Amino acid sequence: VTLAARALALASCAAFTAVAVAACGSRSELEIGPALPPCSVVSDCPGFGDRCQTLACKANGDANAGPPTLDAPGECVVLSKVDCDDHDPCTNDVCDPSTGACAHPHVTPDADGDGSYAPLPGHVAGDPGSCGTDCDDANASVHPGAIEVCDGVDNDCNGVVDDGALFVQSDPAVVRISGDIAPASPGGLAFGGGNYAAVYWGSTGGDFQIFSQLLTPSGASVPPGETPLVLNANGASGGPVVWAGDRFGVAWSDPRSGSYDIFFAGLQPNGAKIAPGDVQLSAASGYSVNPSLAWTGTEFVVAWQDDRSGAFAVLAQRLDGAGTPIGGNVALTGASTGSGFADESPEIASGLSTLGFAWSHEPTGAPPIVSFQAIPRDLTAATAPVVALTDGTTHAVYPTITWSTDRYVVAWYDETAQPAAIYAAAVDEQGHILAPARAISSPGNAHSRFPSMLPLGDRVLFVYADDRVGDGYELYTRTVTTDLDPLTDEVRLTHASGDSLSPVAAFGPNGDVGILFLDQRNGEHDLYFTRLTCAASGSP
Amino acid sequence: VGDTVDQVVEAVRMRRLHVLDVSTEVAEIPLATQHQIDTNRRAACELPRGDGRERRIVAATRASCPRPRPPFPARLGGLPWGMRTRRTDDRRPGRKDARLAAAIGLSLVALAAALASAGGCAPSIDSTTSAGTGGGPPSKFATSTGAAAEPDASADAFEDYHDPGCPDAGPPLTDFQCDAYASDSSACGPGFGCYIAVDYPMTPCGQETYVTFCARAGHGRQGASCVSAQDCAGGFVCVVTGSGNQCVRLCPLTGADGCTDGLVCDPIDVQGFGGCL
Repeated sequence: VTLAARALALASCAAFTAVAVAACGSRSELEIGPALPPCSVVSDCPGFGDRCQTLACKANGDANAGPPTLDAPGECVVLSKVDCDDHDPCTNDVCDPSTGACAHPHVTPDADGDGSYAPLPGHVAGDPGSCGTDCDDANASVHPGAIEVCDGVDNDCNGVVDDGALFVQSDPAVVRISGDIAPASPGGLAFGGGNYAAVYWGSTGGDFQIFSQLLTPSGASVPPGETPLVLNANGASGGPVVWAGDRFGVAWSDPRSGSYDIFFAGLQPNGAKIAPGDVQLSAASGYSVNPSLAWTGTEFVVAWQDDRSGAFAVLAQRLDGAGTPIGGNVALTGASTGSGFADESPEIASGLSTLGFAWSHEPTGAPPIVSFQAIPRDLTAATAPVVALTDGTTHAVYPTITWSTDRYVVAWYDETAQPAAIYAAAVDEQGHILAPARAISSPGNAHSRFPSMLPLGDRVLFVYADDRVGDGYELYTRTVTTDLDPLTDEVRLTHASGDSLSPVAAFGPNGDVGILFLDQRNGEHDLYFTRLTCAASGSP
Repeated sequence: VGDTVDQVVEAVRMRRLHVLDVSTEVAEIPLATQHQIDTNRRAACELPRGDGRERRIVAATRASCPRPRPPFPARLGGLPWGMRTRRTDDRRPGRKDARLAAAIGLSLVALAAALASAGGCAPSIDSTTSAGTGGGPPSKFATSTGAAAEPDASADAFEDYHDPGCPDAGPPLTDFQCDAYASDSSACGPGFGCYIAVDYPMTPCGQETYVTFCARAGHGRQGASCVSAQDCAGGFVCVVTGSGNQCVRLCPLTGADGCTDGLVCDPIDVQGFGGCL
């Protein structure tokens, strides 16, 4: 055997080792591997010195033969290997070549050092096969066994935020946040970077503009205060806003291009708009309006109603974390001229592996039907069915949606049902109804309207308006289970004369819930802020 | 007279449709001629006619009378998704559009140039997209500055963006010719009602005009389905509610609004006016 041939053989083995370690050096006739390396002594064998295996240089590569001779050239033989398999699928089993000792590092990290591992990507912490129980591996105070405290966080990873906590109104009760822009209307509220971002629109000198403003956790304005989101975009409205971990995302509609189109922008934690500025998502004649916005953890998704096909349909657009559109507009519903129906008022939420969207499906000449469908996050064709949550005999309108642990909860209000209450239903990602529609509020002969929801794992917090007291609408809150059973009474939040309407609730710091709402206590449509605080908690 | 007016106005309309692309087109419409057209159109729109003419009037109204009467935008307070305007005759110029265009006349060319040079809103109209051509997905995504928002790995996600916005076009003009709150014939005479509308600008970042006008009254009352304003009775306005286009009663945003059955007076696109929703 020439040196060149030996070198070639060794190289072949080394290359093959990368894909089939067990085969290299094996003598099994059933295994197909590279030529065994020739040797004169064991130190010629690749891997010599590796204490995870025992090598030998044997005549003809026969493990039972003696050392090589002139008639029987030597070949490397693996006599034994250290078996490190611990039969745990959540560990990587490795042998240290320098010591021959086994190690079993976990397949997922414990980045925050709290002793609990993160789940595998795409798995929920604690689920079988997830290999991790830490529901937030970036927060050392969050792990199984941690003490659940009232902070708006699921500290003990049991899937429940602030177990058993009640939310009570803090003091001061309400703070006016809008300036001289009446009439004003809420658009969205989200907390991130230490402040709330409130987005709303209102009229200044006859033009309707859209504004943003940062608020401290107590509702105080953060400089520079009320700021136009778009300068002189007369007719702008909307403003759903979400926090994406390092920035806010906001969507709205404005007619700067000559027709109403949907726009998106990112805002820094200090409220400044992030380059490249406003990204136009729709460009069609007619009306692209009523945007809804969700953050999936990696992408933004905007859905809106759009009549480019003649009748209002629901369209959507994906954007990456930097706000760059992914693909084009996607039609989520099929309404068009002559279809005999329209689809309006979409609301979307991000679930475990899908996006859920609820909307108002309107057969021509018939009452609207609150509808729901779970769709893939990439907006490809849905496999789950469309679920009708109302029967079309009453005027159920304006659905909103949230995801809580294992289900979507869809809420709406019904203008003609008895009672004219807030209603809700729960549906899983496959479209199975887990809790059929039922009334959440009890307005008697009065009316409840404008529900906003926050998920608490095993509970859902509702905030809504109700005119049962006879002095206009006031805000109320109630907590229900995810099966929609009441856990608390309805608690009145506002007490001033004039209507208090259209609350938008968002989680804040330390268990707070911030609420942006419209209020007419001063005779005009102004925007106010109030908050609920986490009042009690206890580990189960 | 109606036919002539329609023909003339249609001719104007066709010219007007090109304004977005060639602003000089507007400047070519003599102010005096435009005013005459307005006058004729007003007469054609307001004259009561027999059945045979009414259908034509409807057609004329949609094309040339003081704004198509589309469902009107409602701004239902606080709903995260809002409620926005529907213009069934989108981009079709109304009388006000043409008159406004004529009124600002030659200055439009300069204005357009100013917009472009200022880096303002005008460049945000991406001529490669489908705006004004009947819809369809955008062929690319325009930003405020007109640049395509292509992925840019080198871009700093937190680079500040200084929004040029739109130049201030000034507050909307108003042309209120009757009492839009009137639900009877007192405002416009028997068989007619007073309607409220917005004449939207035909140019990016343009100036709106709020108008009220008399037109043959429809019958739709609170909650009735509608396609255009004149499907509704006087005192009502057709709005995109987000739950079907409906006639809703006009209401004042301050003081007693007169809304019943749990409805609230929500702002619509005309400052000071609301709709019971």
